[in-house]
Amino acid sequence: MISENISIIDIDATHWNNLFALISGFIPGRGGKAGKKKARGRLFILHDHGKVLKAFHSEQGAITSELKEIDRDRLPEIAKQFDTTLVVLAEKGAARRMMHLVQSRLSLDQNFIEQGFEVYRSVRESFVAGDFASYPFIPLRDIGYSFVANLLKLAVPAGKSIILVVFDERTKDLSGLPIYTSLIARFNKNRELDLLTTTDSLAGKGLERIDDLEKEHKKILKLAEKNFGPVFLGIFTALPALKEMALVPPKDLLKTFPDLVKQGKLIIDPFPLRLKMAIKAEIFF
Amino acid sequence: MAIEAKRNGLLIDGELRPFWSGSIQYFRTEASLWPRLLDLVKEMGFGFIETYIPWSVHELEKGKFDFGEKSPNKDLDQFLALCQERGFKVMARPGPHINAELTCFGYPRRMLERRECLSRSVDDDLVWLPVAAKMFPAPSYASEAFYEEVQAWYSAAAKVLKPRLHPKGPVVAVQVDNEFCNMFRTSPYDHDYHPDAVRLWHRFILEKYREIAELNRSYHTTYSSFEHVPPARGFEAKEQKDLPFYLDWVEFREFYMQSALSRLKEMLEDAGIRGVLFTHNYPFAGDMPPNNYSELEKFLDFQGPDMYPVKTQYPLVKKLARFASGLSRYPVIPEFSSGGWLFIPVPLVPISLDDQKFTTASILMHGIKGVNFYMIVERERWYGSPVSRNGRVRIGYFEFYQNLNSLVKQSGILKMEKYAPCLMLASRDYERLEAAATILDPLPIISPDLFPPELHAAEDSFGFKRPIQLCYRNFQETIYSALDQAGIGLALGSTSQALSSLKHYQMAAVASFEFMSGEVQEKLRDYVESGGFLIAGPELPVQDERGECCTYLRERLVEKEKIKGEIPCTVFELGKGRLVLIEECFEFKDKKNPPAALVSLMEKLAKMAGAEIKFKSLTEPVETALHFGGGKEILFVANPSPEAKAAKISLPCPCRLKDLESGEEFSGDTTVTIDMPAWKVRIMEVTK
Repeated sequence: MISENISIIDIDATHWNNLFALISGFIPGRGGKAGKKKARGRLFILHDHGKVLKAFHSEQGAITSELKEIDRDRLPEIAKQFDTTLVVLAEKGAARRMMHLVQSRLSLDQNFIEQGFEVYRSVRESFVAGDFASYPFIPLRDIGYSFVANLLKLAVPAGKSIILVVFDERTKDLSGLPIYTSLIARFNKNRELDLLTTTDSLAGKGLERIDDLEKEHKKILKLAEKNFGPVFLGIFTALPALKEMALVPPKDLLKTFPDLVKQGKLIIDPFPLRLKMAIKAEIFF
Repeated sequence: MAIEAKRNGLLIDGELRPFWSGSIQYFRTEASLWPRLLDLVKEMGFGFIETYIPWSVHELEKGKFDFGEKSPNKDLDQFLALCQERGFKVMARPGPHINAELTCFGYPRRMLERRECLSRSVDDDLVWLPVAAKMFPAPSYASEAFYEEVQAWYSAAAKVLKPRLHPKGPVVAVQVDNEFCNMFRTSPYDHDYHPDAVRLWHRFILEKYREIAELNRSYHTTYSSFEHVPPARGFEAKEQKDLPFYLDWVEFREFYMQSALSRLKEMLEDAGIRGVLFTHNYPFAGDMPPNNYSELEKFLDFQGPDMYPVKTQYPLVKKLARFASGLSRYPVIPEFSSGGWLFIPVPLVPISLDDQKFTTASILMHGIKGVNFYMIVERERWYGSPVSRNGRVRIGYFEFYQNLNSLVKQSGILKMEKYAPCLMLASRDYERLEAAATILDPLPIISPDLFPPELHAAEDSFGFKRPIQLCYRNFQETIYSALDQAGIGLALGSTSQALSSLKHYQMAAVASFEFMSGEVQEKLRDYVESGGFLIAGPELPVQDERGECCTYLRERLVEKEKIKGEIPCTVFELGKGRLVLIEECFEFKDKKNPPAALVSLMEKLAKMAGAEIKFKSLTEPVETALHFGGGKEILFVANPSPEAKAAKISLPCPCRLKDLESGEEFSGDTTVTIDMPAWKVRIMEVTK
C-alpha cells in the first residue's frame, strides 16, 4: 500500500539512475547501443463484429487493406504473417466501455493500490468479455485487492523500514560516497509505504565517509534507525557481487543466499526470522 | 506598460531581462533555509525565481487559509520579500491546477468531492486521472461551481501577492493555471460533458454562426435552435457533408481551453493581479488541438512547452523548441528538466546530468530564449537538482549551471536570432480533422509521434481523393524531415498564425489537400504575392472546410516550370513570389527517412527561394544551427548519437570556430572537421 501522504525525499540522482540501470539489466550504463537489432513490429487491430476497421503496424503504418475480416483464432497466424511480437485485437467501442467500467468503480476513499486493482479488474473483465484479445495471450489472473492487501500485511513490517545498499569502490555518489545505489523504504503502522529515500538523507547527519565496506553497514543502520525508526530488513552488498547474482537463474537465487552470506558478499542485517524461514522453505518458488 | 514580453526577453522598466529562471517550492522547504537556498541560486547566476502557490497547501478549510500565520513554511510574503532583497524577479503560479507531483495536483480534496465542480465523461462518469498517490476526478473548467471555488482561492492568494507585484515587488509574471490539456485526456470524445460545458458548446456555435439557419446549412440539419444541437459523443461521419459538425466540435475543444484560461486571467485581474505578464505552459506537445498558440497569445503574453527529455529524445526536443521559436512572441520553456519527478507515472528512463547537459544546449540551439529550470532546488518527490532541499550543493550539477549561465551571458546567445529562412506550417484544418476522426476514443491523442493518426483515426476518405486525416501527417513529417536533412535553417509554425509573422521567412512549406479554410488560403496567397516562396502539396484546395467552393490559392497562378525527376513538381508564379506544388503523397515509413530525391529537391528549392544553407554538416547525424546578432555569429554543432564523430562542416568562407566552453579552435577554408564526442553540442564563436 502507498500512503496518500508518502514522502519521497533526498533521492541521490546517481542512485536512482543506477537502480533503473540495474532493473533494466544494463549494468552499469544505459543509452543507445550501436548495431542494435532492428525491432520487430507490433500490430493493433480494431474491428466491428469481425470486420476490420483499422490495422496498424508499428513499423509500416496502416495496413488495413491487407486484413478484411478477423477473428481471435487467427491471431497466431497473423502474428507470423506480419512478423510481430504482439498483436492486440479490440472491438469497436471497447476502450469506451472499459473506461466506463473503471470510472464508475473509482472513489476518493480508496487508496492508490485499491484504485489500481479496480483498474486491473476492469481491464481483465474487458478481456474476458472479448472486448480485447492478444497474441501472445496475456494471462490476467483473477487477483483481488483484498488478497494482495492480506499478503502485504504478512510480508510488510508495520512501522519499520527496509534498506538496500549497493557499494562500489569505483563510484562516487552525490555525497562523494562509494555507493552505487541505495533505497530506504519505510512502512507506517498501517503497513503503507510512507517514506522513500536513499542514503543521501543520512549524508550530513553522520554518513560522511565510508572506509571499510564490510563494517559500514552498521553505521548506516544506526543512522537510519535514528532518523527513520526501527529497521526490519537491511540488505548490503557490492556491485561485483550483485553482478555475480545477476547471472544466477531466478529460481536458484534464494538458494544461493546462504553461500553469499557466508562468503561475505551479501550482508543481511537485520535478517528477519520470517525471511530466513521463507528462504529455507523456498516458499517464493 | 512597464513590463512587456519581447522576442529576446522581458522588457522591465526599459531594461531587457531574459527569463532565465529556477524553480523553488517554498512550501516544501524549511523557511529558515530560504535565504541560503536563494543565495545558492543567485550564485549559480539566475535572475528569476519561479514558484507554484498551491491551493490545497494553503487552504485549511473552506474559506480559511494559512499564509504563514500558523506554519512558517507557508509564509509566501516572506519568501517573496527574500527574493526581492536579492534582486530576483519572480514568476508566480497560483493554479488552480499546479500538479507539482502533489497528491490531487493542488486541488483541495473537499472541492473534488463536489460533483457539480467536476468534469463528466461521455457516459456521465467522473473523469479520473491515473496518478499517484491517489487517483482523483478532474474538475470541470466550464463548471460555474468550480469557478466560484477558484474565485475564493484567487482572492486569498491575491491578498498576499498584490503588495509584491511589480513595481513595488518582485513579481513580474503570473501563470494562469498549468499544463491545460483537459488533464492529459485529449480525445475530443472523452470529456467534458458537464451541463455547463454543454452550455458553453451552445455559446460557441451561437457566436460562430449567429443564425441557426446558417448552422443548419453547414451541418445539413434542421435544428430549431442552438440549444437543440447536441455535443458530439463519438465520430460517426460517413460523408463530407457530415464533417463540419465534428470539425466544429474539435474547434470547440480549443475554445473551451481559451475561454477557461481567459476567464481565469480575468479573475486574477479582478482580484487585483494587474500590471504583470500572464503566461501559460503546455505538457510535452506541440501546437495541436486543443492547444492553439496563436489564439492564446491574443490574451496571454508568452507561453511555451514544458520538457523533461532524455538525450535520445533529441528529435522531439528540436521539434518543440522550433515550435516555440516559430510561434511564440517570446520563445521560452516554462518548465525544463533540472532533474525529474519521482511519482507515478515515473518516466521510463531517469534523467541524468549528461541528459541535461545535452538537452539544455539543444534547446538553445533551436531558438529558445528563456528557460525556467524545474526544480533548481530539490524538494519532496523530486531528484537531480543542483541544490538539495536542505541546502547542500550537488557535485557536478551546481558547476554545470554555473558554467552554463556564465557561457550564456558571455556568448550573448539570448540576444541573438537563429538563422531560419524557412517556416514549416502545421495545418490547423487537417489537425482538427485528425482529432475529429479518432475512433479509439476515449484514448488520449497526446502526440502524433506516440499516437499517430494512422493508429487512431478512421480510414474513410469521405469522398475526397484520399483519407486526408491519415495522409496529412505523412506529407507534413516527410517534408519536415527532408528540409531538416537538407540542412535548411528551419522554424515551425501554424496556419493559424498571423500573415505578418509569415513574412519574416523567405520560404514556407505547408500540406494542402482538397479542402482548406478560405482564411488560410487567402493568407498563403498573400504571402506568395508579396514575394514569399511556398512549397505545397499534394494538391491545391478547391473548397473550404464547410465544403463550399473556395479556390483562393489556385487563382491567378501562372505555371512557370516543371521540375522533372523522381519527385516531380510544378513551379507557379503569383505576384512577386512563387508556389511549388509537389503532387506526391508520402507514406508512413517516409516520415523519418525521406526519399533522397526529396532531400535534393529541397536543396534545389531553397536555392530558388534564395534561402542560403549555411554551415551545413556533411556528416550524419551531426547538425548545425547558426545564430547571429550584434555583429557576432555563433554556430551550434550537435552530435545527437551515442557514437563520436569527426564532423565535416562546409564553410561559406575561410573561418575559425572557437568552442566557447572548452576553448578549442578549429579552422578551414571551405570545410572544417570538428571532433564531436557522443551526445554533445558545441557552442562556437565564428570568426571570418
